[in-house]
Amino acid sequence: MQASILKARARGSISVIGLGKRFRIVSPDRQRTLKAAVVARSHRQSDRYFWGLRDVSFRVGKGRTVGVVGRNGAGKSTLLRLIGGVGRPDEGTIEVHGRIGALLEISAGLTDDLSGRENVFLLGVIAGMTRREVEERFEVILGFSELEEFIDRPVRTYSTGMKMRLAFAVAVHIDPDILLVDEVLAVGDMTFQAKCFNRIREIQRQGCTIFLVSHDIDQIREWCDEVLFLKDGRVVAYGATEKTLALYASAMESLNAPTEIVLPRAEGAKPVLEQDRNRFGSREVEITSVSLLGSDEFAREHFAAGEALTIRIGYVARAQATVVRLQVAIYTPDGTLCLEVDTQAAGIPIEALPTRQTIDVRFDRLDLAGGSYFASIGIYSEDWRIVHDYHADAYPFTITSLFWGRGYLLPPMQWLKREVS
Amino acid sequence: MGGWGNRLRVRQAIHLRDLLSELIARDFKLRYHRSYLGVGWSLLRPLSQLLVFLFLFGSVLPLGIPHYTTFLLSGVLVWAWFGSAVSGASVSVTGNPELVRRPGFPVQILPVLIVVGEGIHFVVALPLLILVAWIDLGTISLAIVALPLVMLIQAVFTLSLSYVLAATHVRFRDTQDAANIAMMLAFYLTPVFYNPRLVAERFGGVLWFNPMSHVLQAYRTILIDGVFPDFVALGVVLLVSMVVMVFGIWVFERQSAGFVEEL
Repeated sequence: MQASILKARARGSISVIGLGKRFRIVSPDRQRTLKAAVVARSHRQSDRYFWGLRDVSFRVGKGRTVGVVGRNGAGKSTLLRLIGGVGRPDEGTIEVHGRIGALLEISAGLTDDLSGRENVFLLGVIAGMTRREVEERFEVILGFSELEEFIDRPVRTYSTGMKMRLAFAVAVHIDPDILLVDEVLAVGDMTFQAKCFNRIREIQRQGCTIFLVSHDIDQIREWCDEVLFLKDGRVVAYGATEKTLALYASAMESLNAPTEIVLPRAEGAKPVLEQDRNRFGSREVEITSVSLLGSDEFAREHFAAGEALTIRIGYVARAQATVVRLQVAIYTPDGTLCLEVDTQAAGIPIEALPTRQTIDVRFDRLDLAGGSYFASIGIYSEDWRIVHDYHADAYPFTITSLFWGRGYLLPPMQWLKREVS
Repeated sequence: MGGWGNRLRVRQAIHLRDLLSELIARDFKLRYHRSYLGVGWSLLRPLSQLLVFLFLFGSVLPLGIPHYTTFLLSGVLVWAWFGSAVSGASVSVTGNPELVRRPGFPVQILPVLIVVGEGIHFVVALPLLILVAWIDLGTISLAIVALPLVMLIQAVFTLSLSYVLAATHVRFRDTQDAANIAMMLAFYLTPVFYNPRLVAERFGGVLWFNPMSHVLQAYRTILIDGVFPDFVALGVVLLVSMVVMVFGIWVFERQSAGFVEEL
């Protein structure tokens, strides 16, 4: 009873925790035959693996549109497939609630020797509709595909564009709770493409959760509420579109023009920073030091719930004075954002100078529940467009609490028992 | 709230049924696409086999089995279903990469597709078999009401083997060759054209361990002897099939995680 209520509420949400997927490195003499497998049994260690995805955690709420960016081979399509239930993760869990629709390898399911009409039913049923649901929507699908005159001819006689139109028309009419899109939007002629976009907008407005993989930054910016940035199978950042895209852009730039890697001197704690793994940015303004201080002004890694926490950040402008905004965020290990604050939003103007400065952000009470957390520190241009220096989850700390509970918050609290006469 | 869950399950069941029928229809359309005889071919294949055996063991080397035509036709048809389902199911996953890669597609349905599809061929030929038996014996017993049960047990047994083979074939392409040879041997170890009683003394044990010989015997008991089949033997076959089925689905589920990468 309880469980079904929870599920009903979560329809359309995705929750991914600690996801890992590894692939066997295929050697040319791959054991495809029984003989080879029997022979190979004696020296099994010859199997080598690489992780296509590792430690990937994030949550997507119902009705959100999330863009996935990353270079080729970053694991975007693998992630999309796993969410779609194709293949199984080697680590971690994926919870997907609701019916999934997919715009992946769109025309792969067409059967050439059958008519367009037969293919509509076939594709629709394969995509998760019942025959009756396809019947009810048939006219709409047909109208969308603009293939009225050809619908009873075998698909073999269709042009590539016509096939795409037919497959797409079915795929966008299955009323999914979650829609997975993998760069297929560039299909057909311009008018049909516009039609597809309009239809996806409609699906979006109906409250469907959309997961979009694309290399087209403008498209992501136009469509997405959040962006997930993957690199080498790991999550670099997951958050608001503009900021995450800026990070992505800076990572791409530094890739094109490799800059000298300068690791900041870590004070107290032991963060390891590595360019383009957990450190990104142009470095026009650089974070030179980060310390987490307790109420006694000593650098620490362990704090008690409700204690004060001060984060002291040293920074310096490389060339000329620049107006910046400084952001501090605290995440749980599974990637949930607990809090995010920045100087601009707080109305504190900051101008980074060529001489070293420091700034403190002091949380008078850190009412987080017991557990481990990471602080991410970033310096951006005023409009978020440029990432100067961003240290992703680089500063770990733990909170200890006396009371055990679940969730992220633990404000000062007590239970009061009272007799009612 | 419970109603919501139930409605979802009902919808899922309807969807599975529709998926199965659409895919079977596709297979039929593709198979008999631009063919004059269409499903008629599914009759001609066993019929030609029937003629060969009738000639060989009816005239050249007479085996002296009573009502040999009915005996043979039942053997040939039952075996045609079993044999083509097993060899078809072994490539059912590897032959449908575009379906396996589709998000949300229930791969478990692929072997079912073949077993049911070949079963339809059998059902199409069944009236002919009953007609032949009627002409041959002059009467049809009420025992034919047990035929659906026998068919169901045959389907379960075939499906259980199909799961193992389909999953194995993804990793090892030898499976198909091995399965074909095994099926050829099994054909001779099943009394399709000879009388099991004649070899009972020397090879009875082998036949006894072959589930298909019990299934085939059940068809003949119904059609030729006109009595109900040995339900104990059928029950044992069903039980064995269930065990193999659990194992087969276990293998299939374990392997199916890797289907996408192996295809």
